[in-house]
Amino acid sequence: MAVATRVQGPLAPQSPVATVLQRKPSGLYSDAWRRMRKNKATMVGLSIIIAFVLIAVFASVLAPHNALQSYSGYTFRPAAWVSDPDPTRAGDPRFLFGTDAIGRDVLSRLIYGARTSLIVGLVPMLIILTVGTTVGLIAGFAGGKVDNLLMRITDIIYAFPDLLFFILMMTALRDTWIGNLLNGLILLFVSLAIVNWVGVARLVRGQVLSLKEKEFVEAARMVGADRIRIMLKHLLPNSLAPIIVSAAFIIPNAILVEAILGYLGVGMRPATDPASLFPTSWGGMLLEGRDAINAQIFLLITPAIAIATIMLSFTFVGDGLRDALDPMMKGKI
Amino acid sequence: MTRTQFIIRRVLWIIPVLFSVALITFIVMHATPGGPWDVDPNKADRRISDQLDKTFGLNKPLFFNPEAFQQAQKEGRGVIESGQAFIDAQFENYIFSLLRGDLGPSYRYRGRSVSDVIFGVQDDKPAWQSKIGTTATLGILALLFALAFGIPMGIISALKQNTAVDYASLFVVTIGYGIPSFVMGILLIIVFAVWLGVINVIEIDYWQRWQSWFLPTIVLGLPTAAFAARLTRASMLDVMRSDYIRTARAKGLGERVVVLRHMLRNALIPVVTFAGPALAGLVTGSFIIENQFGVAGIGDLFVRSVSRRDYTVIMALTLFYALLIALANLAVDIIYGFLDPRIQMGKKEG
Repeated sequence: MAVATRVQGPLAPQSPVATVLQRKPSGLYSDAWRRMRKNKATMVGLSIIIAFVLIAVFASVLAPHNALQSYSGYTFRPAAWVSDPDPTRAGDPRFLFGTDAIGRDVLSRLIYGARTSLIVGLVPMLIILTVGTTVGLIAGFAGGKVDNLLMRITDIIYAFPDLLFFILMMTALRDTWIGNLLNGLILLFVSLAIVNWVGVARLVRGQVLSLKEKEFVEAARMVGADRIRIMLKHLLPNSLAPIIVSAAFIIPNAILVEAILGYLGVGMRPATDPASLFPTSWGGMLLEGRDAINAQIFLLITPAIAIATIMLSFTFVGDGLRDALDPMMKGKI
Repeated sequence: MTRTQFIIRRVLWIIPVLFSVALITFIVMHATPGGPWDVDPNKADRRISDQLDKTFGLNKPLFFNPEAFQQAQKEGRGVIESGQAFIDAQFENYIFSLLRGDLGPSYRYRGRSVSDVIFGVQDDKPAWQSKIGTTATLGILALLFALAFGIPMGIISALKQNTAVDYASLFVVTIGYGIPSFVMGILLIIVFAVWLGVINVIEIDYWQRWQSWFLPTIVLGLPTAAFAARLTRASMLDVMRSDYIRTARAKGLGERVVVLRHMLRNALIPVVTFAGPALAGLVTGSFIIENQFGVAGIGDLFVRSVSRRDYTVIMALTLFYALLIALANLAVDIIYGFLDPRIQMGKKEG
C-alpha cells in the first residue's frame, strides 16, 4: 500500500530541507485524489456524473412536464425548432425535443429516465459490493472447502452468458410478484446482483489471499486480534482500492444492461401511475424510439446520446481511479 | 501439477459447468408462464396443446417421475427398469438425448429439428448462410476488422508516442471501448439509415450483398479493435525499450528492418494469441447487434426463441454459448501461462 515517506530524526525546524520533509504524511486516498485531480478526462467525467446525479435527484423540478402526461393533438411533434407549414406537424416551444406517440414530452421523459438509470446503477452496485466483499473476505480468509465452493460457483456463473441470463430471468419472472415490484426494477436488480457478485468476490478473495500472508496481519494475530477484527480492520481496508475501482465499472454496466433489456422489450414495464418515482427508463425510450424511428428521431437519439455520454464518463472515471489508486498499473492495460 | 494435468483438469471441469448451466436454464425456462404452443396460456386450445405435449413428452414431470416408478413397481419390473421409469422426466430425457448428440425437435419451426434450425440452410443457399454460419461470418469479419484496424493503429501510436498522432489514436480507442457497441449501433443506424438513407434492411437478399456487412462488422468489431490497439501499443512500447532493439540499431540496421523484423515479431505475440478468445467473445457478444441490424444469426434466433418459448432451441443455444465462453476462458488462462511462465498453473490465485 502506498505509504508516504516519513521523516524521522532531528532536523532543525527552520532549515529549508525540514520544511519540505516535514510535510504531513498523506494517506492513500488523499494521495489518490491529488493524482486524480490532475487527470483532465477523469475530472470531466466526474463532473458529468455529478450533473447526471443532480438531474436524477431533481427530475421533478427540472422536467417541464410530467413524464406520463400526454397532450392530445400533440403526437409525434418534432423538435421545437422545426417549422412546418402544417401547424399540426410543426415543433412547439413547449416541447424542446418534441413529443412521442401519445403526446408525451420527450425531454421530460429523458430527465426522468436519468433517475431510473441512476437507481439501476446504484442499488445493484450496493448489493453486489456487500455480498461480493463478504463472501470474498470469508472465502479468502477461511480457505479450504469454503474457498473451493466459491470458485466452483464462480466458474458456473462465468460460463453463463450474462445477457442470456438476464433475458431469461426478465421473461420468466415478469408476471410473478417479484416481477411486479417497482414495475420490474427489483427483478432487474436481483438478476444483476446474481451475475455480478462473483466478480467482486473473486477480486476480494485474491486480495485477501495475498494480504493475509503479510507481516502486518501476522502482527495483528500476535497481539491477539480475533479473526473478525483482522478481517474488518486489517484485510478489508487494504482491499478497498480495487473494490472502489470495480464499482466504477459495475454502475455503467448495469445502466447498459437496463438499456439493452429495455430495447429488446423485456426491461422495465411502462408505468401508468403519474405519481410514480420511476415513470420511464432510457431502455424503454429506446424501444419506443426504435418503433418510431421514422416518425420521431429524438425519441431514439436522445437516450442513445445520454447513455453514450454516461458510459464514456464512467470509463474515464474508472480508468482515472485505477491509475490514481494503483500507480504501478499506470500505462499498462 | 504439470501443465498437461492442469489443462486436462480444466477441460474435464467444463462438463459439470455445462450441466449446471443446462439445469439453471431449464429451471428458469420452465418457470416462464405459457408454453411453446402459445405464449398466453389461456389462448391455446386445450385439446391440441395436450396432444402436442404428449407427442413431445412435455406432459411428463420436470425432474422425477414417481408415478411411472410406482407403475413399474406394480407391474413387477426389475430395479433398472423401475429406475429408468423414475427418471423418465423432461430434464433427464433432454440430457440423455443430448448425450446421444440429438438436440431434439424445435417446437416453433414445425417439423424441423434444432440442429437443422441452427446448422441447416434452406433453398440451396451457401453453407455460411445457415444461422450459425451467419453469426460466424459476422464474428470473423469483425475480428479481421479489429486486427486490421487495431494493430496498425497501436503500432503507429507507439512509434509516434506522445505526438498528435498518438493522441488521435487514443481518442479513437477511448470512443471504441467507452461507448458500448449496442449504443454505437443505434447511433450509426440513425446516421446511415435515417439521415443518409444508405441502408435498407427490408430489401430481399440484403445479406447477399457484401456492402450490407459493413456496419454490423464495424459496430461489433470496434471495441475489439480498441483492445487490440491498446494491447499492441503497450507491448510495442515494452519491446522498443529492450536491449536487443538497441543492439539492432547499434549494428546499423535500417529503421524499417528494426521495426518490421525485430519489434513487430515480438510485440505482436500477445495480440495474435488473443485473437482466438476474442473471436469467441465476438460470436457470443453479437446477439444484440444481430437483433439491431436484422442479421439472421443465432443471436437473433435466441432472442426470438425466448419470446416464443422454443425450449429446445433456447437450451441448445445457451449451452453452445456457455461452451464457447468456457473454452475461451480456458484458452486465456493457458495463453497467460505461456506468455508469462511466472504464472503457475493450478496455483490457487485470483
